[in-house]
Amino acid sequence: LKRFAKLLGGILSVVLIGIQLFPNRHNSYEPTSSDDFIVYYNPPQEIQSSLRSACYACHSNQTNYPWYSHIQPFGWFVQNHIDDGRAELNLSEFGKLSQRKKRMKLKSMMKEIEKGGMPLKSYRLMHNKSNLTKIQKQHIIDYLSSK
Amino acid sequence: MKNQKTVSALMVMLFIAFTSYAKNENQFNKDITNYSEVTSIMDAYLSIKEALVSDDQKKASEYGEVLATAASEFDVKKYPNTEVNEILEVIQEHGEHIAKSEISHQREHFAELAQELKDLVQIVGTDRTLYAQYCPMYNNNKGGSWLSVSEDIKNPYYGNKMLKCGSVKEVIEKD
Repeated sequence: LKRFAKLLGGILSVVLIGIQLFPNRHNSYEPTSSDDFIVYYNPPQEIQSSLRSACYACHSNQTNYPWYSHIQPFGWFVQNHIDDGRAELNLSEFGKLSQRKKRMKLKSMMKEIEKGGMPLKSYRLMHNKSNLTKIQKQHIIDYLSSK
Repeated sequence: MKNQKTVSALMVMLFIAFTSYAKNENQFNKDITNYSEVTSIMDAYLSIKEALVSDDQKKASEYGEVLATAASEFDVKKYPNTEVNEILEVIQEHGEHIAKSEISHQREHFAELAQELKDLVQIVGTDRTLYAQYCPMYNNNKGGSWLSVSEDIKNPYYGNKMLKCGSVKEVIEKD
């Protein structure tokens, strides 16, 4: 049994070291354009900071990667979430959408924040700042519904 | 054992052949009956509605995919109005979400579709008379609408639990 445990530990560490040879892609941090949600709507400071700390990491072209995104397998998960997030909603390019599509996205944002579907639980666990208070959430929802 | 395998493989092949034949038949009918493009969108929408009425997530998901495809294949060039293209883009995205979501989220996207379809048929016309129906209870009493081809209420938001909640708000006559 001891030998088996040793063997298992050995295999596990080889795998863990091995997968470090396959780093995930990291998106570049793009400059802010006039299509950026915050530039486009110019919301109050509080809304801006809530959006930046709770949404922009995955839903923009301006991801600040956390340290653990350089370690596998976490980096793969992180990049996966970012790819999915940006495909669904990219706040850096919000201004490019048609008015109808903007309305659709605003509604979905409200809905997700209200339900607690977003930010993702795993993200909230790792990033305390993204844990918005009830009041912060209500302020964002009120703001979004005014648009 | 081996025999059994051959028989089931044969059955699968037969099934595929049969369904693809049925599909072709369908295509043919559409072509000869002055097929309007909005028809495939309405068909898909109404099938999603039927699926949600009977709490069938899987069927709703299948027709979500059909709706997204129908919206993307719509020939917008006929309509100089850019609004049509924008409506179709939104319909397509709702369809894609219905295709990949659990039932409560399917219903959220379905709830958004009614207005889009009303806007669409206002521009491109409708091939059938539609009844815009409304249940005031859905979404924490904010209400939810849907379109139906019949005056009878079959509420898609609660399935079996509340089939009859709702009323007709508007009749959109066939062109």
